[in-house]
Amino acid sequence: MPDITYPNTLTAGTTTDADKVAENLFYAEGPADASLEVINRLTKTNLATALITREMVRPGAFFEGATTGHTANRDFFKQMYPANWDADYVDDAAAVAAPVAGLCKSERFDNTNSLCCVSWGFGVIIDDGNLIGTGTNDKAYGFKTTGGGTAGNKTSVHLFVNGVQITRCNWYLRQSDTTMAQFDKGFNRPDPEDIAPIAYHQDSRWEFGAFIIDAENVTTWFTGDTASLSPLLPGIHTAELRVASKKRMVRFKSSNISIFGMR
Amino acid sequence: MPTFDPFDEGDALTAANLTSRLTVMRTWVNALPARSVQRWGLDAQHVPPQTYGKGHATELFPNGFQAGSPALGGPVGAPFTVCTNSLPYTAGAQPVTYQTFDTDGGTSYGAGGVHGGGWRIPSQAAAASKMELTFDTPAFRLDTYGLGLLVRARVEVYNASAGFLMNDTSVDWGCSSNTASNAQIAAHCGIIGIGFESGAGTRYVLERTVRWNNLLGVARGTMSTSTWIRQTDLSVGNGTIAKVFGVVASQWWAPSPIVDPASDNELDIRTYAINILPIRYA
Repeated sequence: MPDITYPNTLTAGTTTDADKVAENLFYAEGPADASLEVINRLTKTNLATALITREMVRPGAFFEGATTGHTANRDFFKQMYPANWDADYVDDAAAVAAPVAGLCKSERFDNTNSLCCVSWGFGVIIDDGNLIGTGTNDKAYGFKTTGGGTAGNKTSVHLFVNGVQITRCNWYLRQSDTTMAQFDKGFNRPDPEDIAPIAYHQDSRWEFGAFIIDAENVTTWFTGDTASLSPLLPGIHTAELRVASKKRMVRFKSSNISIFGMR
Repeated sequence: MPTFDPFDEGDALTAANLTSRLTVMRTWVNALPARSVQRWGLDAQHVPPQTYGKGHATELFPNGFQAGSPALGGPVGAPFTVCTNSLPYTAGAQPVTYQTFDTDGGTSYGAGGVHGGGWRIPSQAAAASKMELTFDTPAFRLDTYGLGLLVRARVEVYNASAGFLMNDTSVDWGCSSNTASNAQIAAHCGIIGIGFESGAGTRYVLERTVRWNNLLGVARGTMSTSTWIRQTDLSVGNGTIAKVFGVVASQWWAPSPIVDPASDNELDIRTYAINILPIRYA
């Protein structure tokens, strides 16, 4: 907002003009911000900024956000997904991926922000139901040590913001072939020594990550019809991680996700 | 507060005395003292952006706060980066706080020092997809704006070398008891870290960010790390910063002297990302 300049100059020796005086006091239709009417909507340009203290700034002016988490088991079975989809095609996987409770969060942002950041962390077990072998090397192969080429891409995670897929946040979890329930198979019970240390066999893993959407990359995903869904705009925004899997079961053990915006 | 001179009853209105009073008001409003602002009187419309992003007068990162692999779509093919270098390991040696390595921007950042070899900055062929963020100002001082950098990096592990970790009698790992009933404990690890390049062009990996991930027991999907970079970190170089980057390496982790640098220690990664939140904290 520019400084007050007054629309009219009062000159000595001229006939008094009440309108000109009044316009200097209040002239909303005149030159922008020229009259004392500005007092009704003062902004930072009217302030001696060096003297601003944090008490003057309303909470949420710089930063808005929320977080959530979950610790109960959340299981995703391959039967819950459509029958015909190709796990090795990212777009296919993203299309059928299901949101994970504890990895979804909505929050209202009151302000236009410079960036929106999503952070997450979760623990997950991938279970394909196979009892580990008892051969010498099998003991170490409770899960696949390699991705196995395209054939190994059976479980993928996808970030969605406001329902829009953030294509730079698609990734796959290395597959597992083992089962969590090694003693429950009812046959060929392995020697306990063969499955020690157990940590090598239960396919538990932890994932952490973050992604920033800012003015530089927001138009990559939020353009055209989706421009109004930009997480930088005021409104209710949602971040969610979705999982797609062709494995027997994917179990999320713990999770958290946060979404925040910065002025 | 300014001294206002109100009109008294009977004063004649003139251009001069009207103007002088208006001028007093204008001057005062145009430079309101801070005490004029009520508690919580300023909201997001009054305060400047905090992130020094696009459109800001001081734009720290012209390409945004995020860098890494391009979008993953369509059929999943080969991994983007194959890291077969081995991070040198010297039994008994202590890592240094700031590891240095060379500035070869081609295929491998290696041979920079005892602990520096083997680091690699993930990158596809396109330089734009490097796991690296470059400051708009080539030699930037964080204390210029009282900034700290919250840096987070993650790498999707696509493939690791075939694990022959326990009870593998085909390889002599140097253990005293190398039989099928006595497990060996060598493990293939993927290593991730965060570093910065000084304004003088020297690269440093922050030791506190270096994270070894047992690819069989723990990290089977993603390796991640994070840190907070302050001006004091930059003193190891010339006090300025030009880039922030993520690095990966591969190595076997085992009690000395099991490590066999000649063994297969391939680490393939696919997607990767690094992001920075420059936050004013001072």
